Amino acid sequence: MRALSTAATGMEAQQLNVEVIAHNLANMNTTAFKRQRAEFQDLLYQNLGQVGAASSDAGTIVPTGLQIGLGVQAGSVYRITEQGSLSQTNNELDLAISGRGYFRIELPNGGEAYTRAGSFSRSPEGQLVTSDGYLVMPGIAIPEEARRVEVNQQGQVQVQLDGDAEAQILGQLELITFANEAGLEAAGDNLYLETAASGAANVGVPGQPGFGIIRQGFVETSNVDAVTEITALIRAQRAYEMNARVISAADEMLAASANLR
Amino acid sequence: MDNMMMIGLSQQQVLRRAMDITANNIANVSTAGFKAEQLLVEAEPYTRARAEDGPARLNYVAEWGMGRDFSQGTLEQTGRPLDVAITGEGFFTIDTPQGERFTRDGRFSMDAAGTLTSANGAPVLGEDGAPITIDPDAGPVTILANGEVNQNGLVAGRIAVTRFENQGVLSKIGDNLYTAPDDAERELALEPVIRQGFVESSNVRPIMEITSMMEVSRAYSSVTRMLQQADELSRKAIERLGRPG
Repeated sequence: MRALSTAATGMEAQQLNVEVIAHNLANMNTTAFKRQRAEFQDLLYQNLGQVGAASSDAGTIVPTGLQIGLGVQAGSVYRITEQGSLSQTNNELDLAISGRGYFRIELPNGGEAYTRAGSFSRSPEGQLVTSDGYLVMPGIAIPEEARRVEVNQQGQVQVQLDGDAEAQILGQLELITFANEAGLEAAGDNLYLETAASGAANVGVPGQPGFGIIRQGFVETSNVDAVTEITALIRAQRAYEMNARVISAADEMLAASANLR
Repeated sequence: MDNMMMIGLSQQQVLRRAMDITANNIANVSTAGFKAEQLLVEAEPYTRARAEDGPARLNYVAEWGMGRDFSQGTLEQTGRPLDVAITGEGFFTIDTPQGERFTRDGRFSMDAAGTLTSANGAPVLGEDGAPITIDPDAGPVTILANGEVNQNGLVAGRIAVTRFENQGVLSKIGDNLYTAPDDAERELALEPVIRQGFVESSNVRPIMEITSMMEVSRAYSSVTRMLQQADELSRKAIERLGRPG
């Protein structure tokens, strides 16, 4: 009986849905986390009566076919790259991006990753690094005697040195954009990797058209909305229950036939 | 006696099919743009019983076709700029390697080259029959109600909304897509209403589906009971008539 396996695909899909929702809720307080959404597609159809088949010798045509669907499949789990709200921390090395773009990070293996989580720190060598100690590119070295680091909206990093009247320019932060941000591969630890689907990294300066600006002393919060997620969770659970009901009803029908003799 | 068995069987077959369709509707309760289906049933008037002494006319039940409910699904706000939903009639036109396909699922994205694509990566066609290309590096995209895709005040294209004279000719091929026969009467909607940032959800009405499922399973058990009684009857008849003396 098809209904059994069809309902099973439905239960599996809703299970995936719940997993995605759980992941979102678990990351409600993760800096710059982007929520995800599971999307579904109908599975194959079995044609039992072809649309447009002749139903008699007189040339009458069947108006609708008879197609029986075989269930549902997970189409994709996509990321919603909407801006998260900015939360003020007053930490001089907390940088949030308002608008499009990612910071470029050098991984220990020499590769590159991208992130919007701009809660940076200073390494023992004075380099600007992520909370995991990975270098933020292009490397910016902050001198030990720096009194205060200033980052303006265009990403210029300046520093006031003890005994110096004028601020000294340390470097310029870059932002990276992608043609299709949703195509980036999440690597965990708030990092994303470039893929064939995302397109090549496009380097620019904050504030340039198509790029966001930098806000010093802020971090971007997760864009997960608890109310939306809980509502989605309730819906997923109900859908799961309904599919389970179909399985038991189909099973009863089979049992009725099995008991015939 | 055999007629009773055959009629019962024909109904059981149809009920199973109805159950399959209901199961598919329920499985697709979260599928964007999904349209619910229903089995249309009629009596089969032309099949006669084979038994010589049987009644002249017997009604079997047979499936006649399937109805698709094309009513609007509710629009759900997603916050993604490339999600679009159609309010009212019509379908988005997708250029798959197998030819043009139609869908109500407007979860579009942009590929690395800037082409507007469906959830499966196939280009979405514009009114001129060509894919719509957006400059990936130039600012946000606005999609107007009439389908016009705007970027920085420039028109990048207009999303085609195809309408069919008779939506019954469409058949589903999975992946949220429909195909139409080549000779299907179709036209571009002149005044489509498209909403950006929304996705049309499935129009399956769960309560109706669960109700029809209950109906089907009850009907199935009553047919089964009827078959059992028919069997009982014939067994009794054989027993009694076969008793010597």
